[in-house]
Amino acid sequence: MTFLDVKGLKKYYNNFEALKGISFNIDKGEIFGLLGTNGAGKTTTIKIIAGIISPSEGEIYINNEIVRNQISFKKMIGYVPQDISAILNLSAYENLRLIGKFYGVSKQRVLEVLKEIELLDRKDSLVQTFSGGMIRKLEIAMATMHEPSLLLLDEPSVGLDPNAKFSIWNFIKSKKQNMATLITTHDMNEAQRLCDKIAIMKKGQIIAKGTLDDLRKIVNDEKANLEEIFINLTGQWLEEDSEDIKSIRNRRNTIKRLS
Amino acid sequence: MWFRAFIKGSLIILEIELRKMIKQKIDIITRAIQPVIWILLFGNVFANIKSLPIKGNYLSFMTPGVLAQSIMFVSFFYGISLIWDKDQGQIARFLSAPIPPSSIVVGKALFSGIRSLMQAFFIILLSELIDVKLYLNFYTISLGIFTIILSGICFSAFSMLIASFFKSVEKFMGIVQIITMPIFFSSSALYPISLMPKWLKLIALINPLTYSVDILRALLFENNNHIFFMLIILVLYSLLFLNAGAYGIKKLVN
Repeated sequence: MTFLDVKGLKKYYNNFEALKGISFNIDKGEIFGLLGTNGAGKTTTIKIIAGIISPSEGEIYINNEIVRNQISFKKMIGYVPQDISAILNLSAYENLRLIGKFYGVSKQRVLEVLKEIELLDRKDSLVQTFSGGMIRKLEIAMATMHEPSLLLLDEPSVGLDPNAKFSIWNFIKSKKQNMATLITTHDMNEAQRLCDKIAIMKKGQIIAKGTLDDLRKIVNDEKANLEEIFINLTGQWLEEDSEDIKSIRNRRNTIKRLS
Repeated sequence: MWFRAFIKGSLIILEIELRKMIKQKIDIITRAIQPVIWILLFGNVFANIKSLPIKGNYLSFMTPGVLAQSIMFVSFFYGISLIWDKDQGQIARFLSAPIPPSSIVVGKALFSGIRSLMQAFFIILLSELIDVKLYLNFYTISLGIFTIILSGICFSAFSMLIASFFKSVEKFMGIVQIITMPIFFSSSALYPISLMPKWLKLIALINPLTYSVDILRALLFENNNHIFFMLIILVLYSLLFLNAGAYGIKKLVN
């Protein structure tokens, strides 16, 4: 059964149309990926669903009911921003406890979560002493400790080494059963390994969506991998060359902070 | 439901800011230095000018002014934390939480107000050491604390409003540096309004720092309890800036 249904999202910045009518849906237990170059509209889409920015047009439905009360809706979601949002000069426990207070999470639950992410023995260490992978895991724990029905992850493995990426992917997979998960990514490997369905975005539009097999049918190539499908459909490579300066700077800052 | 989420959100944001401050103890000390320099250097020189139309000694007259101006300066630069938090993704995370966006501004402004009390503590301590005569009793201290917190809220909310429009640290610093000095010199912090030319008097009358200074001076220097009208104006300014800041915070991440 469809849990999240996004219908005709549009976003204008003055005369610039950042989103041109995005529609997709996600079932519970499903990981749905938004794949695209920078400027494709992935982060704008996820920020609108998270209630951080308002859409110019379009609606979001949860269990076939339109979202009207943002406060009730936000109790159901967990959001991991693209930038490192954990407070670096507070401890892991303080970060979880303080964010948990927004959702009424108990102290006991915070300790359980710390145990689950294998940080219980370092619960009082400042986050700035953690590795990039540990910080990302902590951040995903901050977004999932209240057991949301919808998890929104904006490029969760950016700047991480391969081992840390595997660890994060396993952690996300372990959480997927009871929630609908929306993830934005540049990483073909991440999209292919994690996502049950993928939407390929270009210039504010979804140009193709479905399972990997569905996408293969669209490009008429049964053996194509995701990278080949992406290039076939968009005519673009997912490389830094296609990014604007601001995105590159943000990405480098994130990598610097993580390392 | 909205009001409950608003109060809860404001208090959690306040707690986050207080915890961050406790980890940066050096900030508490460095913020106390500026008012000490004003009183010891500027105040001692100006105290020798005999023609100032004030009753009592100049240092005692100036101390409440320096207290208000140091709250104003520190609170005015507090908006930078909103930009840092935005750049670090914390504002996005707070906006995705089940709280009204306005509670982020109110929680941060409350923190700024409470932090101002620390500056007040250092200034009052110094005033005792250098024999500045201040009226300190239950009435003046409790209303003084309220005024200090309110001033911190008022100027930090104004600062967050500026931050939400200019969005980058460089632009914010430039604008705040341009704004703070005229606000300071067009207030009654260092000299009585009666000394000002007519046009400057008009500016002083719409300057919230004037009301902050005059309330603290009435309480601590003059032992005068006719502060109700000035307090209302400072409350109205605070509400205006908090409302505008709450509108601005969504603009910050847009």
